[in-house]
Amino acid sequence: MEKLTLPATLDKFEEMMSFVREQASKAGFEAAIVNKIALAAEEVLANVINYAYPDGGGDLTIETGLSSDNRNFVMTLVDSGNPFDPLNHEDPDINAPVEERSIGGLGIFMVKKIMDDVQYRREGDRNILVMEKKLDVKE
Amino acid sequence: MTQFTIDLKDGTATVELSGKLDTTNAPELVEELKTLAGKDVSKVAFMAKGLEYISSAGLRAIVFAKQKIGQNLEVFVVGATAEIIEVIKMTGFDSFVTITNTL
Repeated sequence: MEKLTLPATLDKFEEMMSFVREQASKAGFEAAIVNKIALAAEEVLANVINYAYPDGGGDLTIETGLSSDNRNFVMTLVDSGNPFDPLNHEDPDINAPVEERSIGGLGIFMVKKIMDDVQYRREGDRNILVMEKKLDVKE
Repeated sequence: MTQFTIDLKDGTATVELSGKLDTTNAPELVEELKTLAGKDVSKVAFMAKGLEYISSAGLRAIVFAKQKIGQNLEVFVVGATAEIIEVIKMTGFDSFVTITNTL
């Protein structure tokens, strides 16, 4: 298991994304899938950076590894900010006309499309978001 | 200095995109697009040949163009790679932007 903890600020965003890309590549995903995993990661990282700590000063931790059966790449995001369940959000209606399209909810919708499993839990003062992607995915 | 320059000519606004359009720079693009509000614009073309990566923040900037500049506005994404097109389709955005190879 690899782990990276950084202040949850936008200036650390690139470093977080490099870590995710590196770990997804190491897990054996091809470049196009690595890009998708990065896309999913960006959505959840941006959520924490922008909303978890309204007063600033918090950290976020990204953990990556394999599931116990070695079939899935597991990426876990932990922060101790405001309780926030990104899954407690209705999926946007992607067929709605543009004038009715809401801007929110799109990110987590993309995360759910890209990853095979997404689970949220609150443990003590921490938000824990676990995302899994099957390793044998083929484009 | 902004990374995005909008070239407005004969009602068509052209925006060159390259590298990444993500949470770090999409707000800047939105700011640039705001300058088009109230102007005589019928088309916005996002030139995406050099675009390697787009996140939902980038897509939001494109929706912003459509929602805020004008409902009759035509939005084009020009020359995007298969990967970018896939992201646009994943979110259903292909229903209101025209994906094309050339303008």
